[in-house]
Amino acid sequence: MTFFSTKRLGAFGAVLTLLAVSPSYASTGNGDASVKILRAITVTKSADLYFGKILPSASAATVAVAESGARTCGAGLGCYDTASSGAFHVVGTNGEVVSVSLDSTTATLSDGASHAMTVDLGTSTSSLTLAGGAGDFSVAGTLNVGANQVDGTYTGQYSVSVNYQ
Amino acid sequence: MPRRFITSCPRTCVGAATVLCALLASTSASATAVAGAASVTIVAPVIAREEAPLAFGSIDSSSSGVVLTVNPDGTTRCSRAASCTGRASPAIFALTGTAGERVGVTVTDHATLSSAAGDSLQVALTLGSPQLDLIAGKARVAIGGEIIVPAGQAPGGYHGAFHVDVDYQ
Repeated sequence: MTFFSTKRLGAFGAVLTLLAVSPSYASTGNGDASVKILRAITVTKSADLYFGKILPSASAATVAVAESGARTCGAGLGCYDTASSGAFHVVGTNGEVVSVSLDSTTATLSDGASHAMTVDLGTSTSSLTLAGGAGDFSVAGTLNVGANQVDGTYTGQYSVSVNYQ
Repeated sequence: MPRRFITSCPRTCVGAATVLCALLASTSASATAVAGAASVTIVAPVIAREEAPLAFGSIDSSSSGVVLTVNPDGTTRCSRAASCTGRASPAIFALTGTAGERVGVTVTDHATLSSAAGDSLQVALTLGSPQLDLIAGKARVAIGGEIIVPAGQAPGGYHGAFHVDVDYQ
C-alpha cells in the first residue's frame, strides 16, 4: 500500500515548483565576433629623389625639388638634367588608411671621398587611403650645396615607413 | 549584445582576447619601411677655349662673286678655285669639364666680319657637333662657315667674332 505523508508531498511539490521556475530564468544569446584580415603592406620605390647636375658657385645655395618634381635652382647655381622627386607605391588592403612617415627629415649625400651635403626631406602625405588597394606618395627635398662644392656624384638614402591606422 | 555574450560566457571572452592579440601582432607585422635613394651630380665648370680661329684665307672677288665653304671637318669648297688661296680652316674649341658628362654646344647662326674701313661680310656658321661627351673631361668641337663675297667687295682684312655656348645636359 502506498501513501504519501504530508511532509513528502510537500517536498515533491517544491521540486515541481523548482522545475517550473527554472525555464523562465534560462537565456540564450547570440554574440558577434569579427576580424578583419589585412593584407601585408608592401612599399616599393618608384623614383629616386634626384637633383640633377649642379654647377656650384662661390657661395652656398640650395636646390629644391618639389613633390611635383619641379626644381628651384638657387642663386648662382647652374642646374642641368631633369630632376625628380622621390616616389613610392603602396599596396595593401583596399579602402584601408595607412600612415606615412619619414624616419628622418634629413639625409646625407656623400661622394665616398669625405665630401658631403645634407638634404632636408619632406612629404605632404601623412596618411593615404588605399583606393583600389594601392596608393602613391612623393617625397620632396632641398639640397644644401656648399660654396665651391667639390664635383662628383653624391648619393645617400632615407627611409619611409607605412603602417595601417 | 556582445557585452551580454561576454558576461555569460567567460571562455568566449578569453577567446576574443586571443583573437585581438593576434590581430595586433598581425598589424604590427604589416608595417613596412623602405629606403629611398637621393642623388646629385656636382659638375665642374665647363670651359671652352679657342684653339684655332675660323679662317677663310684670301679671296679674290675682283672679277666675280665667290662662295667659300669651310666645313667643320676641315674640307673646303670654293666656287671659283683660283680665287681662294691661303689657309682656310674651321674654328676649333677645346672643352674641359667633368669627366663622363655630356655637353651641348650651340653657336650663333651668323657672324659679321668687318674691315677697318667699315665694310662688312656675313658668314653663315656650321656647328660640327651639337653634343659631345667629355671623355676624361675633355672634348673638341669644330665650327665651320660659309662666306659669300660679292664681286667688287672692298679689299682689306675682315674680322669678326661669334659666340659659342657650351652647357651640361
